[in-house]
Amino acid sequence: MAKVIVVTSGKGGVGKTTSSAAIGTGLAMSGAKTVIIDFDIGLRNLDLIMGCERRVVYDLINVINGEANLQQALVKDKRISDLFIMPASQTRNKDALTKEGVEKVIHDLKADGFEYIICDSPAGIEQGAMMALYFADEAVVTTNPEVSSVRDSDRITGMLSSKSYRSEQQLTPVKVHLLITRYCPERVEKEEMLSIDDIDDLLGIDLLGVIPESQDVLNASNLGEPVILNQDCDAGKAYQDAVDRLMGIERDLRFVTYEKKGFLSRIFGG
Amino acid sequence: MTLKSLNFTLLVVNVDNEELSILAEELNKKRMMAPDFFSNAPIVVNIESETLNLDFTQLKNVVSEQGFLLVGISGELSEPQKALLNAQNIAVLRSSRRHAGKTEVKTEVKEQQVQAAGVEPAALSGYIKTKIHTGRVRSGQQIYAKECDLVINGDVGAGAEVIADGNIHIYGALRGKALAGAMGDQSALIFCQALSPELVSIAGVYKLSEDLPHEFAGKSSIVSLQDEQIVLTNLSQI
Repeated sequence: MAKVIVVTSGKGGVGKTTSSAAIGTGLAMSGAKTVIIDFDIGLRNLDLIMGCERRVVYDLINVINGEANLQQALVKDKRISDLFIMPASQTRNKDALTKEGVEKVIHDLKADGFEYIICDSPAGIEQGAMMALYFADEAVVTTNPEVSSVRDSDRITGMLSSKSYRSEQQLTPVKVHLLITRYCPERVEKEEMLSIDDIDDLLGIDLLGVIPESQDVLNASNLGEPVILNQDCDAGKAYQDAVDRLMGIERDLRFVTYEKKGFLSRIFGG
Repeated sequence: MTLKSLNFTLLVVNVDNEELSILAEELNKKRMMAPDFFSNAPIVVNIESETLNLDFTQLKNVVSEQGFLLVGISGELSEPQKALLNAQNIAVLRSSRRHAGKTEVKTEVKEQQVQAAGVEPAALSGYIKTKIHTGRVRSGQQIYAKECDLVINGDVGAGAEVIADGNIHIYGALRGKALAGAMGDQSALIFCQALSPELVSIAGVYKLSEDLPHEFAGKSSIVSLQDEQIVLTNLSQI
């Protein structure tokens, strides 16, 4: 049964697209046919993060308007065989997204055998974000450990339980997962940052994963390589754990405690 | 088509001053608290003294300009004033509270209504079921319990609003806004297990978090209104 998963946050710049790319790639690596749809019409980024910006011909809006068919708009990933990208249009605005149009695209993707449909939501709570979450079965709410991001996540979680197809049809509610990104255990220790417990207290959402703050994430974005492909770095491993949990495999939390460097490791740079 | 008599809870604004701009300001303040709920809300203007020389046409305009619907005028009115109101098609209402002496007669009337209308007993005894919300109230959500109490079984997040015409009970933390007695019931209370609100209000009297005494922050508390002042008490000490 195909699953529609929206990656959302309310607030901008917290790592939605980075997380969509990493989670989509991770799911596809497990052998499940996966598509990541960029809903950020007018400000598309996903193609850059995925490193396929030079191969975009048609986009989501073209498909919705009937100017291109699904196969023409899907960009196949060169690294992972089961991974596809549906880019956003750079020249339109978000009002070009219609409920009927999005419904048809998602329906056709399911009919085409896609197992995971990842919707990369734009920031905000306007049309684009609403359309990205409307047909979701599950949601990954991306949050940074700071108050404004947490509050926006709270708002968007409320939207998921009141403005989605599942809520309007009174079906089983959208399953919401919390993904904390840019987590820095050292700053949490110094009480400069909200801890996992603080965030849980404020949001009460099941934790999917904690991605540590890392330079590797920015490097990966600049290279157009989803960070999950770099399994040597903490962020890549943390995303892999999150993907495993999304597929129902239990994983212990990693990279969430701060270990002071000991005398020897300081000398030998361990 | 049947003609029957039912009781309604109405918003009442007391007027003790001839200056209608004060009334306009009060109404505006009230409306801003929950614009959605007070838009076109029916309201009764209660005149405190018959010596007030009020221009009722103007008063009606002030009320409608603020987005309320004037149901009628109650309180201390002289006979010429009543005649004037009748001429202007504004209803003159008699508040039951001010005519306590006539209770006996009223009960009689009520009993007759029972037989005539055959309304459900629950509705007659004034019993309205408490509104219960299970789960967290999240930022941007607004929950309103019309003419009854409100129970929230979960936290009320920052940026969320819970409003009731009666009391509000929160089995969780209150981090957003809670407005009890929204229709003016000054005896309404707010109960919560951890008090860290953005705002608490009872019958329109409100306090912001920064004005609340610090010793209650995060504690289980009762918010009440005493002598027009918001008062906090510790829930566990009662």
